[in-house]
Amino acid sequence: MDLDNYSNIKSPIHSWDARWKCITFFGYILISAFVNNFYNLIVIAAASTLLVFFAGLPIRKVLKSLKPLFILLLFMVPVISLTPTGDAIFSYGVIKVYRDGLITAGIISVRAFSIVLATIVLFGSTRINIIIKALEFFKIPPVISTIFLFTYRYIFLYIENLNKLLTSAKLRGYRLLRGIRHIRNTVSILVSLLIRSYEQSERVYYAMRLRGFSGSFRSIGSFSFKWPDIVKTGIFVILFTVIIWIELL
Amino acid sequence: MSSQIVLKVNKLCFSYPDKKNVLTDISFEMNGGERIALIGPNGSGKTTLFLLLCGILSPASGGIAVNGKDIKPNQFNTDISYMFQSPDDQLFTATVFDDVAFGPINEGLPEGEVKDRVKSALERVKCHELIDKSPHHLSGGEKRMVALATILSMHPEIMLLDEPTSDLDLLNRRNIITLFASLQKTMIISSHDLEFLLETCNRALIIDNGKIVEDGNIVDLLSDEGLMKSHHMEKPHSLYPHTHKRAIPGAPRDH
Amino acid sequence: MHISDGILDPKICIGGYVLAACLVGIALKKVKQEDITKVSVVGAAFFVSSLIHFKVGFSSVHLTLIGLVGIVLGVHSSLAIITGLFFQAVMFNHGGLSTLGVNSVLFSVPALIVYGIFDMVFKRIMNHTVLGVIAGILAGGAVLLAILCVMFILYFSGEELRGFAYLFSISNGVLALVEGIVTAIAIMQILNVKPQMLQSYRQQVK
Ligand SMILES: Nc1ncnc2c1ncn2[C@@H]1O[C@H](COP(=O)(O)OP(=O)(O)O)[C@@H](O)[C@H]1O
Ligand SMILES: [Mg+2]
Repeated sequence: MDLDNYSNIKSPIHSWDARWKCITFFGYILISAFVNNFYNLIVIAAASTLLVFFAGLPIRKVLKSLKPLFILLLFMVPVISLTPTGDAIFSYGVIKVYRDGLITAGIISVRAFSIVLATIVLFGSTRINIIIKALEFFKIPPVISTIFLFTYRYIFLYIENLNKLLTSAKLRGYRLLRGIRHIRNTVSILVSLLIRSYEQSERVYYAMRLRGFSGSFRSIGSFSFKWPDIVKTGIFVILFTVIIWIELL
Repeated sequence: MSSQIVLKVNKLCFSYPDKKNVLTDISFEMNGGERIALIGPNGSGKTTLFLLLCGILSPASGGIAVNGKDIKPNQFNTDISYMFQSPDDQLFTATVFDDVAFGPINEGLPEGEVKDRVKSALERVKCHELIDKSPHHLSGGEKRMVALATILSMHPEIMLLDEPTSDLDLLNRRNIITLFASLQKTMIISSHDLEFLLETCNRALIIDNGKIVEDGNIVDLLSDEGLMKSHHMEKPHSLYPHTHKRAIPGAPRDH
Repeated sequence: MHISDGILDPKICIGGYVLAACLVGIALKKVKQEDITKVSVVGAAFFVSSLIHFKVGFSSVHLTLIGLVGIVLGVHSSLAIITGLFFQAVMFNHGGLSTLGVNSVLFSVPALIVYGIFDMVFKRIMNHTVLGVIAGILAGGAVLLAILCVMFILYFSGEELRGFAYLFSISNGVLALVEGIVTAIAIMQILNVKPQMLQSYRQQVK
């Protein structure tokens, strides 16, 4: 969850210049969404898995991050393959598994798997402020990048705050409440969090103005790319070409 | 340090839209290098006064002048800077470096100088090893020290510090006392840590219910038991001649 | 209740990004300096609020809070929604980067509609309870609208997805109800304690 935790690992993915890495990964994610061909599905699944290994991310953490996806697929794959379309390839009493559905479910699963893995690798190997700086390099409006940065900062503070509020509510028997009283109490917690944040947003704005804020966050430091960056991106460009070529065949 | 008047506050009044007369008729003058302790119970208007002094809020009436120039609300002013009561208001970016560099960058300093300032500010608060960390990974005390560095990096002449020791352990509290002693700066410090104020300040303003009720030498004011009681405070232990503290072995009182 | 990676036709993904960019463009036109911190800091609190579980019967639901975001942040709500969905995708792997554009549009448009209607109502009605109930109905409606749009997109993404589209809508239907109740109570509380939080109130005071 905390995106900073794995940014200190030394790996070829970590050392990749953030601008090249971002554009390559976004390209990869979009192309993965396009893939329909059986061989290509194998290619992207393999490529994403290799990325995880090259980045040296701890496998258990990666599996944990994949959990929401697995849960979704557990629900989605049966539903899709049981939806009546075309020929059934398997039946057991009234339950029929359909060929088209099974194929679609398979395609969706593999695409989702490789896109999510790529996302995990990108954000596990680059600090968020560096990614945002790279996005600025690609001309995302500075107001947006500023909002991204500040939001990220305060998410952690409010997770802490929320936990404190929930703990003190539990001490007052919040867990035992049922029905509308449970909802009303939970809403009170939520509202006090929102009000706190509203008041804090004013103070943060003051703090920024006192230090000369003029509308957007500026940071110093520049990117420097070296020849391995070109090689890494080059490998992916070749991969993209192959995938598109197979897809068009 | 010059003993010229650097800050002049004249008949300041202020109300919030939903709370009237939060400050009434605040007037005082301050010489360069002076250290004022701003003392008063919760809700007496200390934070509000700071926000007025640094130009965040604009007064209903009265004036504030720094070095003879009137403070204009909403203007970036590097002469005077304010450290918020909560470091979470002060640290808003993704890394310690970005936070400490925020002021100097906005001043338009060249990159090399920004880096030098960040480095020396963090060294002053003994937090240089935190430079690449994210603020949400810092402990309360570390956040406080870094928040202080975000002010120091702007080289202000007057520093306004709102309860700077509230989340510090004894070591960091001592570090701050030593640091403040080494800085050639004019400061106003609000705190409930009266021992701390005794060590850092020479003058005290007691504020209660939005009015300055006393202004004078800090030792004189704080040792006046009756005065302290009447404003819901206690005379600090160190101002009693023979306190039991000395009797406890291993509890050194001498600094 | 977002659409995950891998399901949608890439054309829809790209179209979603284009529409989202338009929404951002519109919001950016009206952004003032102090809105930047408001959108980010209050947006962060909304993000965290959406992590709260609400127990409903035997299951628990996470809220989207799109109606409440709309009422609190007004025209800027799309900025907070996009940011929130981005971090949901990269921190918790809910939703996804390829569908970020689509999801942002599906959440932002209802949020903006809620704000528009609530703002009109706010100018005429003073009673906190009535305002709360109206906000609740609007918020519930906003969630229903988002669900319908998702269902529509899934339904036309392929014959095989139709069953999934139906189940998705049914399983999220209860969410609309909970969101409505939550938003109604929240607006009543906010009106009592801190009405400045509401965009409509701030404009009226000005
Ligand atoms: N933003 C605000 N709006 C309305 N009232 C406020 C605001 N901030 C502070 N107050 C009120 O003004 C008074 C002074 O507050 P403050 O300056 O924060 O006191 P202190 O810092 O001495 O504890 C308090 O009664 C407080 O409730
Ligand atoms: Mg205060």
